[in-house]
Amino acid sequence: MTVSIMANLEVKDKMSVLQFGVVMAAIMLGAQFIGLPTQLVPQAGQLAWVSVILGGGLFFCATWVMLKLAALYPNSDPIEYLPRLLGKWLGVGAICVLVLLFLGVTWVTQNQFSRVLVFFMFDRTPTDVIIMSMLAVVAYCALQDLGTIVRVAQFTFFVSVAMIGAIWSVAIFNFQPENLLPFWTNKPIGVLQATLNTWGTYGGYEIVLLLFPVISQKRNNLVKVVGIGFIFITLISVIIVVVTVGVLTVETIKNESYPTLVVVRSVELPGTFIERLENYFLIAWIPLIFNSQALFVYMLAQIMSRLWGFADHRPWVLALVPLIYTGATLVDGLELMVLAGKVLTLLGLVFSLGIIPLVYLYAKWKNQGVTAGER
Amino acid sequence: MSASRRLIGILLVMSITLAVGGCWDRRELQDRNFVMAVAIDVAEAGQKPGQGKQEAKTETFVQPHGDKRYRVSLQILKLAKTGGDEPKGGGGTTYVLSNTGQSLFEIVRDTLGQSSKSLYFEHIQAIVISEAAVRELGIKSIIDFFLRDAEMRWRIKVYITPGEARPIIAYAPPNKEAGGIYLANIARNHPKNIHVAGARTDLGNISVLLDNKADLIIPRMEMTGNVIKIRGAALFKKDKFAGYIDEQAVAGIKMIRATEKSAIITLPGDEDSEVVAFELFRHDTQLAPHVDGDNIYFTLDITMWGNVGEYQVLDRASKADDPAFIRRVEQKAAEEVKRIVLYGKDSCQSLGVDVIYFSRKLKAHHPKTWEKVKDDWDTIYPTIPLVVSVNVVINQLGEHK
Amino acid sequence: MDKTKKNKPKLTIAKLSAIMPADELDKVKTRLTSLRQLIQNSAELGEDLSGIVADLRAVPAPSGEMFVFTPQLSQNVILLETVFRDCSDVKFRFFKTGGRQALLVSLDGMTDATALELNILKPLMTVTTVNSDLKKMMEEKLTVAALNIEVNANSAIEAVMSGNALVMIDGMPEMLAIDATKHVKRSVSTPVLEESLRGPQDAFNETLADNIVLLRRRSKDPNIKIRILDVGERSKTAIALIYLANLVKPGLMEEVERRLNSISTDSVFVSKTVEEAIVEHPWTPFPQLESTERPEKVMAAIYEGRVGILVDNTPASVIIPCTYASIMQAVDDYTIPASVACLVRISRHVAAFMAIYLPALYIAIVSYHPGMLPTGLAISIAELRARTPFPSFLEALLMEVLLELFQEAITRLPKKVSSAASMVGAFVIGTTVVQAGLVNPFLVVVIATTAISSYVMPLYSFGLGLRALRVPILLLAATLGLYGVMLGLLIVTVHLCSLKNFGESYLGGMLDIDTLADMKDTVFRVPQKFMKARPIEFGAQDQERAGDS
Repeated sequence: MTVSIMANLEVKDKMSVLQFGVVMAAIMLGAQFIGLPTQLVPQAGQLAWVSVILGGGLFFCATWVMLKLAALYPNSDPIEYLPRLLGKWLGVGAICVLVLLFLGVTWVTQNQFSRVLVFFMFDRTPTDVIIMSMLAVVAYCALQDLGTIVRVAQFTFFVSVAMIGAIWSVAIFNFQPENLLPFWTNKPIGVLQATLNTWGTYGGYEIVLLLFPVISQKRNNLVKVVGIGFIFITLISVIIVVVTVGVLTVETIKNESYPTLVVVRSVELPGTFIERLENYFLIAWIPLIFNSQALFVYMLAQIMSRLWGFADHRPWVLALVPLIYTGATLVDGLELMVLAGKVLTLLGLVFSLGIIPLVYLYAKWKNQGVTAGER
Repeated sequence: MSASRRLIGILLVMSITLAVGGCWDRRELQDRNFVMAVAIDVAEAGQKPGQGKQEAKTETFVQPHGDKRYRVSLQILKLAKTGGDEPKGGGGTTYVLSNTGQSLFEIVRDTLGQSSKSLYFEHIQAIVISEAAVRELGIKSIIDFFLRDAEMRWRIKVYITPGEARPIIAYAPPNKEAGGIYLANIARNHPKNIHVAGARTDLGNISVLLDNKADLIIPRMEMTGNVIKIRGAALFKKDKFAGYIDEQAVAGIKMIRATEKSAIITLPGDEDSEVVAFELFRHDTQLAPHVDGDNIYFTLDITMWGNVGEYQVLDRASKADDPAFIRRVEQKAAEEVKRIVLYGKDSCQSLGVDVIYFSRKLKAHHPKTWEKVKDDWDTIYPTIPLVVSVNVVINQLGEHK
Repeated sequence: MDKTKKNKPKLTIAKLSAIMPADELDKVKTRLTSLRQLIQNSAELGEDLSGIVADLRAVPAPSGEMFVFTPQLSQNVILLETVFRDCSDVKFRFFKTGGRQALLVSLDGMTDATALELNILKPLMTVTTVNSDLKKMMEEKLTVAALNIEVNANSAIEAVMSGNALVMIDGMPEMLAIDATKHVKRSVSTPVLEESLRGPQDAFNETLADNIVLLRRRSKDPNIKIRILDVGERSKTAIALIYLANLVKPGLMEEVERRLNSISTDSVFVSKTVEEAIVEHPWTPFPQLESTERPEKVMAAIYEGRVGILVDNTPASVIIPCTYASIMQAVDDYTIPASVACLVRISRHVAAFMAIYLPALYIAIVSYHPGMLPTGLAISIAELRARTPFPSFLEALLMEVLLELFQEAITRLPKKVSSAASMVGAFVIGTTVVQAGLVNPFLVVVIATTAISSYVMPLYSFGLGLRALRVPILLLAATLGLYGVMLGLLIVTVHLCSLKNFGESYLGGMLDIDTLADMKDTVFRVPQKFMKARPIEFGAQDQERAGDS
């Protein structure tokens, strides 16, 4: 019986389906879930968890369309077939939307992350230092090859999710289920609006387009694995939203800057060694940020290197680092952050719900891709 | 230059910038002054014993805006230098610094002028506010500083005191604990002491309630001479001080809110001057709103399980394990509970303060009705009846019958 | 008296050089020196001449060989003596066999003299006629167990230097190389570095043959292949590659052999030279090849699909590839009950974490985030630290330096002095530094726990690697607090995952979702009943342990 695992001696640049599931979950579980209640609750009230579930379903459908599009071209990546399909300028334009999207996400995430960290953990440390040091570590990771990145992503993902789960579960002590009632609301439109706003939580699934050719050839249960990944992220987000609304109330969430951290802070465990749980929470959050940032930067570097015909993604990682740093420090100020968030959500929705389905339908109509070869 | 050399060069430059920048937040543990408790009075409150008017003037500062409204006193920890080998000095382990002004943040920062190390709030345990300070302008303007600062904890205990607040934090407890810890830990006994309203009354819950525009209940701490005690509570309507209620009312409120874990209910015995104490171990309380057309009423169903804790019987041949006696005790206990509950409810309703969850339950279970009545709530609330039904079961009689 | 007086020549007193000018002392001296010079020159000329004679006499040898042996014994003797010039321990024993002259060459002390006497000299000396068929003679007359016929010179010389004996008979161009090696060596003893309570107690020693025997005894599987290579151009050290032919990861064996053959150094004395030459990341502090002195560990590894390397004169074997998980497995885990072994393993992983991060966590929490300590503890630590003058970073650094000095000193001292040194160390580091008010006692506890955690590692060099990382993480913690510690954690994780020797990621296999089944032997140790499959990450060809091979 020959072994069916990846051949080991060469540099590992393929991943299996399960590994891809974990990587996708890791990139989606980035920074956004800390700000999730702040985004959803003002619009959806105590039914925010319904929006989360609806959002999960919506973006899973978008991913499913992406999977079908990528399955039409099993061995090439979108940089190659999009220009082929749509003509050079339109194809490159679609790719540029994706690049802008990823870049914007890194900017906003880095800025938000450093501000939260400085506010809670430090006092006088400038945010630039935090961004710089995080970018240094992210660059070090993105410079490795895909096999290493996949393994690092899995390792940090499992460890941080375990830690965050343990810390979050002590919030049960303050949970008051009555805060989640009533189950009806007089503003159902708010729930739907909030659904669109959940893009921030699920953002990152676009990498399925880019990583598709690298996944090993057993692709039958890819849809199932992607579905499980989505269910996992939805579950985590629902738990976060439900517990936050249950511990604080809707009104308090509207008045707090960082309600998720306040939930963790509100837990008191007298007689144990543990105080200031939000520090532990933040520490467990840092590897998740690192994970998703490293994957985003790696993807960006790959896209750019293939667009410009480079063989290796490494020079682009180094070129992107100052760009990300500049952008992250410029997106400062509360209004600018909100605006950036809105722009990103818009871009993400346009890309996932607009561009990709159109491209897919167009490809099917032109009978391109794998199905064409079957004739 | 080859690519790898360039890479190493860039990384070195980046790492040098990190090292050159330095560590901004490193402050050694012993270089911080631990603030254990804060007391807030009005600025004209009494002086410290032995302190003249001149000293009060030196304590304070020239203020650009506003007037001298509050006096903030900070209880700061003294670090015993010998690591506990020698007995600590008789003055206790803390000392108090005071300052007056209006903006609490400004006052605190100005107090640095009296302190040799930077003030460190992360271990603060208790905030004591005097009634006079709260009566003028409400509680929200006082605690806003504590809600915004990142160093504060969510679980700081807040107390209202009818007298002056500063002597409370200047008090040195006899067991040489740091004063703030002592003050905060008193309220931690609230599960066993039904006269202390300690559940959900700390800083975080106050903030949540204020955001929801609900009413507050804050425990009341009193100091006379050398005795500090928490008894009763202060009620706030939105953020305005409404009045005090006594311990029995607090007991009633706790029973309605179902936040007591163990309580002692004393009943009169069979004869005069006999007293039976019933110790509650477990209870099952349901408070339910009912809307009947235009009528709103609440029902409270309590089932209590417990023991006979004490039976002060005169010299009679009466034993506690007589089943008839036990049944009598159960009935009397049920009536007593009902009386306490109604007394608590009446105290709240007479002050017009809804800390017994009426509005909350109504909002949760009957949102449509709530929409209709929420503008008139102030007039409707004092008239809402509560139907109480209590069932008491005695499980054990203790070691001695 | 007159006659003597008349016949006496006239006495003149003068210097010898005046009378016999040709015999002046100076001239005599110069002539003496020139005579000496002439003698020296003639000696050199004689050597060159003999070399030229040997070259002229030698038939052109194939390239790479020194010379070719001729059927004439006298010529061969001269050739051999040239090669072995000044090696006084090479013994030449001339004897006659069947009327012909014969020669036995051997290295004194490396050969079994008795065996040679009984099995070579005696039968050869007593044989009456000798025909030219060496092979027939070999088969009929010589009673030696192992011998073969040598033709070319290099292998003959190498055979002599390895302790074999060479027999040359006049008139035959081939010679016999007889394997009768017996030399001083250390007998098989107990392991020094990796002691175990209940496991076997025999360890490798320096002789390659003995080590191979220790391995062969443990498995009677003919599929265990042992391939011997020579590494080192001048020292020609023997290296044995051991693998299981139908189980080893495809491609691993060839890669290892390729790298070994590409080692271009002239001498190899310790196996570390070989190790460093075949790894890809020379600068990392972590060991990338597992090295063990226990044969059962090597056999277990071979049965997982890995390759073992034995280097002559090193009492250890190298196992390729190695991952963090395999380093964390100690022999004792398999000799104690499974549930206890799980706890021991988990505590080992926790100790590996603590060995790097505990001082850094102390600094970060005490200086940057004291809010994370419970209030009572914070107060007591503050009181302890109120007495000491240094900031926490300097304190920790001071204790680290003391600890490292102490650890180095203990390794260098001879056994008798080391117990006294450890007393000094205990006093200095433990008690006196605290009483002098330099360091607070809590930090001493932290540092002691860290030091003990780094001793828990089954592989000593891994513990050294952890120690090396402590100070950089300390620096990071002193600059950026707990955030720095987390960044350090991430950097170390990325580095460990990027270490790929022979295809296997060092840390990546621990929590990789594809190899989750491996956790039964890495994080826990499940009872033997459940260990039905081999570790996936080593890629053996046959994943089931039971069933047909």
